Amino acid sequence: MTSTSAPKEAVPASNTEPGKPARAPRRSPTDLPFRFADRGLAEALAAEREEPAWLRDERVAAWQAFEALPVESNQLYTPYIDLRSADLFEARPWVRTESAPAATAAPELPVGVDGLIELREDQVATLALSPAAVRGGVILETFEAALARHPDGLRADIEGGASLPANDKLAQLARGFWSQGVRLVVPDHVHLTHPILVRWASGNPGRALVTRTLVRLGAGADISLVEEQVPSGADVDCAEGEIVPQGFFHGTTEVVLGTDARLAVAAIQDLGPRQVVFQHRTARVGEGASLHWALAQLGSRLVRSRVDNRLEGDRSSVEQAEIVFGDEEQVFDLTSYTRHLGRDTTGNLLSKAALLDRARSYMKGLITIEKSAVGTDSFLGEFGMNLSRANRAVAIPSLEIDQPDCRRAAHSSSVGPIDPAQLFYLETRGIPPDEARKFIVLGFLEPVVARVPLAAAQERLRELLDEKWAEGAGTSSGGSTGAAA
Amino acid sequence: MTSSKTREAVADRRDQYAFHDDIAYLRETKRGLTRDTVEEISRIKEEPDWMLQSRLRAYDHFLKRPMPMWTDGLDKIDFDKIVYYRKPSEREEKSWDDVPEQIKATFEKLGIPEAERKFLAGVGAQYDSEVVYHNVREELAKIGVVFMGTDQGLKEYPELFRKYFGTVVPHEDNKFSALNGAVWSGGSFVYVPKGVEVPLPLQAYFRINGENTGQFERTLIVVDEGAKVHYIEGCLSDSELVSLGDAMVPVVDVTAGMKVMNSDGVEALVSAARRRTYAGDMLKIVPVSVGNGFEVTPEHPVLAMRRQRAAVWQGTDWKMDESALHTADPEWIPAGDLQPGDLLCFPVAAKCVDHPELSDELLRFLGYYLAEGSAFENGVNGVPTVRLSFNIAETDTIEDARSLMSALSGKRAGLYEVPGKNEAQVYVYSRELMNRCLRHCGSGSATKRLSGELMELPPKRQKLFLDTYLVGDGNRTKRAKGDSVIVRAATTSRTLAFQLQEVLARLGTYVGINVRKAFNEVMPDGREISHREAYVVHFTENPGNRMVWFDAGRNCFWVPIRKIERRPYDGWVYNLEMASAPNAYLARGFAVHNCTAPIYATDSLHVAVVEVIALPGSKVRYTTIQNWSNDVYNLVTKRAHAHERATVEWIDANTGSRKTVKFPSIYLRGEGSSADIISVAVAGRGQHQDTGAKAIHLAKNTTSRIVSKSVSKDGGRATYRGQLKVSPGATGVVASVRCDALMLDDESRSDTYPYIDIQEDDTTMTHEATVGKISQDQIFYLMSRGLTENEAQNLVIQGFLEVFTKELPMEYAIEFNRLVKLEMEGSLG
Repeated sequence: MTSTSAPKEAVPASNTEPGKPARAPRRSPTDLPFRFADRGLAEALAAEREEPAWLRDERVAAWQAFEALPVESNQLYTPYIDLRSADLFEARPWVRTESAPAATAAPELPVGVDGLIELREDQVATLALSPAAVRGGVILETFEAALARHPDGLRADIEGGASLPANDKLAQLARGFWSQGVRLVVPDHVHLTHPILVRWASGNPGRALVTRTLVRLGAGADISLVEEQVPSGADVDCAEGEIVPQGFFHGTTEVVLGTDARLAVAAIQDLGPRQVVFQHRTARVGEGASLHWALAQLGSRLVRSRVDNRLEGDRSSVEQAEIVFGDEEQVFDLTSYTRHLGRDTTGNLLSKAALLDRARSYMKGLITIEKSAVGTDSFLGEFGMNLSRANRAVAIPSLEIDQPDCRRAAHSSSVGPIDPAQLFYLETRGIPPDEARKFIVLGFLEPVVARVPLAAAQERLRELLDEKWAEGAGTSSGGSTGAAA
Repeated sequence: MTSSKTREAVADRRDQYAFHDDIAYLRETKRGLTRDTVEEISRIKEEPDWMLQSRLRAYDHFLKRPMPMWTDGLDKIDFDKIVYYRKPSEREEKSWDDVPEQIKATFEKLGIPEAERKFLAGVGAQYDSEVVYHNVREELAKIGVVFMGTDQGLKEYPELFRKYFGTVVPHEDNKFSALNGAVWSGGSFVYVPKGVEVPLPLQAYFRINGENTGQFERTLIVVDEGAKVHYIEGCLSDSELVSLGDAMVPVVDVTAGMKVMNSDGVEALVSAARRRTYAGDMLKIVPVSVGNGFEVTPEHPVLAMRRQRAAVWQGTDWKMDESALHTADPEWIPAGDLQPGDLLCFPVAAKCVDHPELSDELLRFLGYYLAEGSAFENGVNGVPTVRLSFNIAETDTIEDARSLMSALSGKRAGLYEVPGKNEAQVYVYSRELMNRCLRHCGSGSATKRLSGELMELPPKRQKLFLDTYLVGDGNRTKRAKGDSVIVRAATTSRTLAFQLQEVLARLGTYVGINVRKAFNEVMPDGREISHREAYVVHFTENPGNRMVWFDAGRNCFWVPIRKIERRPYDGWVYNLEMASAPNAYLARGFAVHNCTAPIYATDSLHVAVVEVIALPGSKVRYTTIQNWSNDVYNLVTKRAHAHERATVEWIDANTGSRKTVKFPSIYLRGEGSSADIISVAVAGRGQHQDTGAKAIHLAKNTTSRIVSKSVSKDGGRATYRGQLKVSPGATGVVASVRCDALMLDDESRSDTYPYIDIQEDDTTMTHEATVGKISQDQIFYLMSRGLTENEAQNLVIQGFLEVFTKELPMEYAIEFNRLVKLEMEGSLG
């Protein structure tokens, strides 16, 4: 037995295929997989896009913070990070991206949504609101449009990077180098029956798309939001011996909820197998407000996602469910921070990962109960389901508690295979074993599926899960590593 | 196991240890850690070259390795201010009698001599850096069990040692395992041969003495196939006794908020208990009453009077001038300036409260009881019984005791003459009398004591029980010349001896205390009686040649110093700051002043490594009860390898220390092995218990269970950090982790950081954690049943920690509960 401090990972198989030029020297798991984020790019973004001086300064300040920070600033998690499967050294960022004026009522809006913005790489494909949303004064626009229409509003929202974690290198990357942004503002007491849909289509090989999304709900507002990250085209096939470069998508969702506001967010990430995704979701939850996250992670080669919930107002609450369904060599690196500050706040945080083949999932969660947070009820659950021999599930559910006067502060986690008792039960009901396994796995992931507020999106998510199961499940023990269909 | 030559060397040194605590350090290294230090340690120990090379490799790695950043506060350790090696005695002691008294006294607090008689299989005690005492019962040696100091193990079992040393915890594992690898000394080496089940626990005690040496013990336990053993480790510190008025406690146990007796003989509140490191001479001031000797640093002021001011030289000798004694002003003299012959102030307890409910008859009876009595519930039918035993010839005494007993119980006391012995027993069945005896005098000859009420009675009334006590336990010897009579009474209760001294002081008699060592006596009929160590309280009536003078004006005695001993010292010293004037307290009965501002220097360091190898089919349990004092950095690497079907259990409790970083680990290497870890931590003010457990599953069908319980209070911080890992190939693993934390107030903090890393598909793993405060419902319920709030809280905490205590042998469970109670003292309001 030698040192046991750092987990040892195999170098991803894709990097060692024969006939390929020799790879650069071995990388540390925490080395950044790209180089494009430098001061030059920050200044070029500001200059090319003719941005105001404050925004230029903002980008440069973010770049400085980015430079100074380590990839993982939390000592708890440094042994459990691995960015080596990403290779974005040649990736080119977008600088000028298309803008469009703020959404207006438009006939092409699909049924069942009150607003839609669809972005395909650098293009704004659709931008529309329902008449009800327009009447309520809802604003849905790109950052560029916001700068043109009402620059001070955007400035107040983003200057100083207050809505992104200051200690996170990758959050600072979004703050400094975004080329596309979406801003959704819902005035006080506006209720929308249908969700707003934000769809990002990305996957252009060798391109890096860095984006931000701001969501502001006024007092008593009540809406739902569906986020989709989808491939922008069919997966590119390659000739023998040729590497198709990876693409990069970096997105944020920065939520501020006013008093008694309610927001439900459902997100489905199903990007292509050559995509690398970094995500930051942050929320400041005001007095009596409540927030629901339902996050599904299915696609991409490597996902690093972080959620920061700040329960600032008394009686505020957050409910978060995040699922992972991974196969092949996918790596999911999920972190969730929940900070209780107000009195009688509630947190209910759930992460679930079902893993096929050689997929890996790191579930890291930290609940912090500050001294001011009297009467907190907080629960963190991290559960893994192992469907193959070679996968790896890591759960690190942590608690930091400064206020003992809480209703509940607990976490729970489990990692294991399909429960044979459940399987047996279903088989006794005449369900064939393969079918039974599928039911159990999909049932395990159901908490997020059921919370997707848009019927079409929910249907799509079910199909995606079905497909993924069909591709990987039966053969799971073999650990198939063939190219994706 | 030990050559006869060295055994003689030990025997020859025995006199040096007779109730002294001036351990002579034979060898020690300079402060600080250099390559030379490492080489010197190895040279002093006459180690083989491979061990020197191993130490140097560890040293190199220690230098290279950065300080861990995932926990805070470790950067405060100054590695240059630590003495890395000290050798206290020439050779490991072999028998309990050979162990220095001071160490024994410390162990006695943990009930070890009792344990020795009852169930002790073997004891290893580490004094500073070396194991000084190991006692392996003959039968253990007969079945081939090796239990000795690690250094001795290296010498006597070189091949076995080399095969396993460093295989479980390599030097390169972490910065502190590297430090231990470089400078280790002491610890235990245990080998249990194939198929041998050690019937009784092996025990070792480690302590950083009042001497602060970094302590770097290394323990290696190899349990061969199919063998079983339970190893218990205790860690504690000790020091001088301080008077609480009715009892003496070690100064380290005194905490702010307690009351101790000040130099006016009045109970006073301690506002702060201070502690600092000190390097230099330590003085032992020995008055004419040898048992009252105490240790202080030279600058420590002691209330005293110069001999020259109170006595006159009469050509051949000093003659005390009593009028001068009563008029001269005493001074606070730094201990370093004191001379033999100078007079020390021994204040008399001034508190005087009568308790009319304690009748004169009862007091007289309690005196008999103290000397000769026992009070118990009759084992057969549970009848409450009080019984006194007398020599059959003492007819007057028997009659007196019997009539007192009858009067007090309202029943006719029985008399039973034991056939064949010259013993008469007086007895009565009375619950009331039994309870009063237990309440005011305790039970058991070694643990009898006087209650607080008895200690504060007016002296006249105290004389009642004192007289009858001396009839029972005392003997009077008339001097050949003059009218003087020497009165002696022997008791095995140390507390009682000091209490009697205080009571007699109030009666105007200064009492000396001597210590009689334990000895075995062969009776004429061939029986062997083992006498326990006894405290002989003695004084002289109508002395012809007075040695101690009573000062009624100041209500104190003036006691001359017999001798002053100096010894080099490098370690902690303690001090108390009193909430009210005078800022002085009593050390072994004498007034010492609180020093000037305490200097906080480096904190002490305890860096141990424990390696356990459980070979196929074996079973090992390793129990630790740790109570380091609150300035120790306790950074320990404990790891076990469990081979096929082996079972390893760590039972780990942490109550003391400033910071503990310790995660007992089990590597489940063999198929079917299992691991069980119970970790308990209590973090009080200024403490951070960063503890937890690790189970690393490397083989098929292995199981592990981790249970962690932590309590934080008064701003303390308890952190659970643990790892559960299932490696590829380890199929069929069943694992569970449960951690519960209790926070007693708003200032405290509790963290939970479990790491769960599963790389096999058919693992069954569950983890749960909760954090909360004490349920007010429970407290309320218990208080409604008549408990005080503090008692109720203690009960709830003990229940919370029961998962741990129930795994302990009873003596340890009691000790642990006592430690927790001590930690909890005053935690409410």
